[in-house]
Order: sequence, then C-alpha cells, then structure tokens
Amino acid sequence: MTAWHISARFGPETFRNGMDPLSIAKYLKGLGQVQSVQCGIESVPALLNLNPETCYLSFEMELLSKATREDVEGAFSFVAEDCELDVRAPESPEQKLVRAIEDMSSTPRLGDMLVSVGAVSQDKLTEVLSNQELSTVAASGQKTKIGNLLADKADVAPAVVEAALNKQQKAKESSGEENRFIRVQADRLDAVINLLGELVIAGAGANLLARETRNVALIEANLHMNSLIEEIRNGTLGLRMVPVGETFSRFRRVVRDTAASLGKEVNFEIVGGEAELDKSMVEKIADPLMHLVRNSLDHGLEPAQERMGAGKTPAGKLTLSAKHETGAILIRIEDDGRGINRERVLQRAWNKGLIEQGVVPGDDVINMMIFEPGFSTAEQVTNLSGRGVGMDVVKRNSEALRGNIQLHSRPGKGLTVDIRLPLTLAIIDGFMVGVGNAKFVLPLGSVVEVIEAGGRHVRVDARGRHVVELRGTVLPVVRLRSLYDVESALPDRTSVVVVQSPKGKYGIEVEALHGQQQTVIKPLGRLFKSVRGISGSSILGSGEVALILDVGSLCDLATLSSQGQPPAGDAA
Amino acid sequence: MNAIAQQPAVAAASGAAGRGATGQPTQQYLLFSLGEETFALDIRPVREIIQFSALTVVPLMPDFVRGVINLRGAVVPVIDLQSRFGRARAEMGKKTSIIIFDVGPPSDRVEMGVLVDAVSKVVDLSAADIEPPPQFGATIAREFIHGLGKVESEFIVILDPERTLSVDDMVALTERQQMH
Repeated sequence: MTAWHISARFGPETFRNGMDPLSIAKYLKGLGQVQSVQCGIESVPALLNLNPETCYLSFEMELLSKATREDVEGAFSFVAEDCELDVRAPESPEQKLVRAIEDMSSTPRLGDMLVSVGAVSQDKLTEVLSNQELSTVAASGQKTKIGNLLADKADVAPAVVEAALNKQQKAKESSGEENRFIRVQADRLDAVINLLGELVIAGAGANLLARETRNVALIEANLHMNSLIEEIRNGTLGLRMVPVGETFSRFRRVVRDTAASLGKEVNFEIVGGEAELDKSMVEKIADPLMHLVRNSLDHGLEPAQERMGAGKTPAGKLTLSAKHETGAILIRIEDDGRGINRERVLQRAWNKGLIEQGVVPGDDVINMMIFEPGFSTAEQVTNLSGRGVGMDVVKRNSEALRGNIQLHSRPGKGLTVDIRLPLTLAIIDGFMVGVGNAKFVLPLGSVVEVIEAGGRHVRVDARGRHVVELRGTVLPVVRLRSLYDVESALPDRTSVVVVQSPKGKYGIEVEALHGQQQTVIKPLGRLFKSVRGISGSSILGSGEVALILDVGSLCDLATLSSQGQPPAGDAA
Repeated sequence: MNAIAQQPAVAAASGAAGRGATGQPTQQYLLFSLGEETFALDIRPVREIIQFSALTVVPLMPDFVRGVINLRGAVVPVIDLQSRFGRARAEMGKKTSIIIFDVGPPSDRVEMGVLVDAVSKVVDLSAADIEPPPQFGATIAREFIHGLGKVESEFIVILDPERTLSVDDMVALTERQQMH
C-alpha cells in the first residue's frame, strides 16, 4: 500500500474536449481508498467573466492504494496533454536524504556528504572515524569500510549510505570517461572487418562440411562457433559507428557566421546528436548537410522585418535533428521561413523546359524541381547561393549513399528537408533471387511483393515491353534472363518480384527465390564501373559471388533494351 | 578454390633477380600456355596462382571479362587472355588456372585474375636472352609484347603486363560495349 499524493490541474479545454475531471476522480476512487480530496477553485474567475464551458478546476487527492505510479498516472492518460499532473509518494526521512545526496552538485568525501545532508552529525562522524583507525590496528590490518561503520555505529540507514557511494562511483566514472576512448586508424578497422567477412564465409564452409559428417557434436560445435562469429561481426561493425553530433556541432559556427553576414537572426538548435551512423557516411553527408543549412539560412529564413510583418518571431528558427528509424537514420533540417515558392519554381521550370509550358504537376514534383542541376530561383547571385549549383549535388550525394530526400514545404511557414540514410554502407538486407545458375541480390527495402507469374502470363505490349497484370493494373517487367543473356533451360514457373524504384514500380522476372539475408557489400572495382543495373557484389556463405542489382538503373536499362527488341520478343 | 602455388610478392621480389650461368643478372619469368602456344610473364607482379573453380559471370561485359571470383573475401575480376588477344574464348580444361596479378600504378594497384590453359614453370632469363618484339609475324598484337625470350633454344613471347592488363584500356572497351 502506498499513500499517493495526487495533484492535478486541468487545462481550460478539458470540458470542450469531452473530458470530465469528476469521472477521473471516480476512477481513482476505484483504485483504492481515498483519504482526502480537495477541489482547487482558486482560478475560478468572477461570475461575469466565467465561461461555463471552460475548466478552471484542479484537485488534490490523498489515495491509499496498491496501484503503481503507472496505474495512477494512467487514469489521466486522456487529459495528459493539457493537464499538469504531479503524482508523489510521501517520502520517508530516509528517501529525503537519498534525494538530497543525489541532487548534490559536487562529490565530497563520503563522511562529509552524509554530514552535509544531515544524515549524521559531525561529532558522530569523528567518533566513528577514530574507531575505524582503532579497529584497523586491532584487526587484520584491513580497514573496515567507513560506510559499514556508519551504518552500524551511527544509525545511518544503509540505503542512504548506498546512495552516497553510488554518487561517488558515478563521479569517478565521468571523470575517467575521456580516457576510455581509443583512437584507431580507420583502415586498421577496415582490415579487421574484411578478415571477419572471410571468417564468416570460412565458418559457413566448415559448417557445411560438418553437416556432411553427420557428427552431431561436431555440427553443434560449429553452430556455436558460427553464432559467435556473427556476434563478433556485428560488434565490429558497430565500432565504425560514430555519433552524428560531432558533425552537427561544427555547423554552429557556420550558422552564426552566415546569419551574421546576411544580417538575420537565427536560433539554431541541434536535436539527437547522439544518434550513430557509419563513420564514412558521416564524412560524406557533412557537405550536403552544410549546403542545406546554408540554403535554409539564405533562401528560407526571412530578415527580421519581414518576419515580424508575417507575425513571426524576429529570430528565425533552424533545427537540425537526427533519429533512428527502422534500419535507417533520419536527418531533418527544419526552418520556419518562407518555404518553397511554388509559383516561382514552376515558372522557372517552365522557362528552363524542365516541365512543359502550362502543365502544372503535383506539389511534390514541383518541390523536387529544386534538385534539378542548374536550377535556382534566387534573383541575384550571392556568394552563398543562387548559382544553381548545389541542390543537385545534395541529391546526388545522398543517393550515392543509398539514401533519399523528401521535402515538406509549408508556404509561408517553413520547410522541412528529410534525408533518410541506411545505417551502414557495408551491409544491406538483401533478397536473393536466381536466374539460371546466376544469383542476384535485391535490396530488401525496394522489394514490394513477389507474385507468381508463369512464363505465359508475361505478355508483350504494343511498345515491345514485357508486362504482367497486377490486380488490374499493367506492370512493366524486366526479364533478367534475356537482358543478361543467361543461358540455361527455362524452368516451368517463374516469379515476378515487384520493386519500387525512384522512377516507379516495376517487376523483375526471376526463376528462383532464395529468400532474404544480410548481405555484405563488396565493391566491384573500376573495371565494372560502367556496368548498368548492378551496384556491387556480395560473397555468399558458399563462397560464390552474387551480384547486387541496382533497382534504379535496371529500370532505365529495361526501357532502353525493350525499345530495340522486336515486339514479338521471346515471351510468346 | 585450392591454391596450388603461392608466390608472395616479397619472396618473388627477393628471389626473382639472381645470377645466371653466364654471370649476368637474371629475371624470373612464369611460363604458361594458351591453346597451343606458350607465353611468359615477369613473375614480380604475380601474387599467386589458383586452380579454376567457379566464377560469377557479370552480364553485359565484353567477352574478355569472364567474370569475378571470390579471392579470400575480395571480389577479383578474371580476364580471358585468349579473348583479349582477339581469339575465341578459352575452353575450361583440367589444368585451367587463374594467375592473380597486381596491376596498375603503385598508387592505384588492383588485383586481377588472368585465365590461362595451364601454368608450366618458372624460368630464369638474363637480358641477353631477350630480344625485342618482332616487327611482324607474331600471333598477337605487337603492343602486348615485351620481347622474345629464348628458353631451351625456343623463342617464347614475353607479355608486357602493364599493357596486356591495362585497366584503363579495359575500362574504355567496357564502356564502348555498354553503349550498344
């Protein structure tokens, strides 16, 4: 049983939101025994000013209940947004001391700490300390711990002593924090990771051999070793991760200097700097981020005068934040400036011939226009921006890191740029497919679904493209077999993997599905740089090399090659 | 993939230069056969020789790029020399091997595999044993030939690895292939 002290001050909108403080009080009554309850009426105004639909009330309640803090707070979950809630368990004198110790800013000696919060008197402490000296001489030569002595002799509660000891421990840890980092050359780390990759493959090979022997003990020993290898690999890959905060904080100075030179006032805020990202990615994303930040300062945020005219605070707000999202990191640059001027962008796109004159595409398409090479809506070229170089580089760089960019423009209110990046360049979740004897890996993230489509379901349309019907819509299909000249017997049934590319959805016809697996990416080297449709390679557990398909460029390749093919094709 | 002969670069460098019977400094050359012919290559850039097992075909590449292999965790391209010299692709036989080379300038060295029908032996040749490439009559383009080496009263074509396996040339050829 705990005697909870609940004090709740309800927001003025509570009634209008359909909530009733009384029903909450009644619910709390059901949780235990209400010792006392008092309604706070101090904010109720004079009758003349009183709005009967506005809530002015608050209450204080003493509740004796077995319920946990979560249960008690849960009663307020519907009004949590605009209700000031304070749920407290009455503190025993012991807990008060513990809290006082935890709140102390410095960490003196254990004894002094206890004296200063009043857990023990100075006289008593001196007495105990002298006893400590005596008992040392008398006994084994080991000093009895002062904490134990105090607990025994001076009636200090063990919990209080423990809190003081914890406090000391923490202080020691934080002072030693800087020394706990080891600076390691990146290439040494890479060498270890490469070796581990080989170890994984060798382990898989050993596993295969062990299975052939049918020796259960050997198989088990191998499995255990493999799981250890897997853990080591994950741990080692984790070593490459660094918090993005270091890079972000470099921007502070840039923001300050840029804002000063533009004569604008800016509040720059960094959120989530502790989110981690692969070191090589952090380096590559720094420049594009810098560009976006500058862009927001120059184009986005208005001068103080203009802001005041628009009813905003004179100082603009620019937020750079990072957070993890399933398997990816989301970096967001948000400002409360003018947003993208749709009309101006559209006009410029028409003039440059990017969009046909008079055609008005969707907002998203218009917004993405700013990423086109050579595109600038700035009326004059400054030394910061307006040269029309940059945003396309930002897009290209983030795409090179297998990331994507999204814009959310709120005209007159601000712009949010979201950059989503994979956590590491070294590993992707892959979906392996087979064509003939060849194996290919697709990035799992781009796979939408897999449909069964025997060879006869894939038709050829009037423009010579292979298509398949997917729930009433026509889906273009890439035939890997004919595209890559795979020579082997055609199996009876084939599947179509539906993938989402930046240019739209399409299907890839494959003959075998090998399922999903973590894929370590190995670059293919200079010789294969110009190969289209393939972004890299990966070594499978069996030691084979599989090629990783590039969903974006494969789409282009499919359109090109199908134009050259006779309409009859080979999909009769 | 079994390594049938490992030739670490360090050992090759120190052991490659010696003294021949005539007292002249000699250089070691690796002899291998392509079809009926025997060729020689300076052994220094050779890292190892492995038995051919399986390779992964990279689609849409010119004929002379046979594919890629997994060399202890690194993905290494394999070049078909027969095809590079403008002949028919090599057939896979029992003795088919892959010679792993380091090619390119020291700043940008890459590993590359060369598919050959068989590796026969290593010979010592002094500068006196090597004659300049013939003006005509050679079965391969003159630019690939470093010289003619005299081995046991027979002349063997010594290939110039930097020319034969020039990454830049091959990249250019690959790009041309991609245009079609």
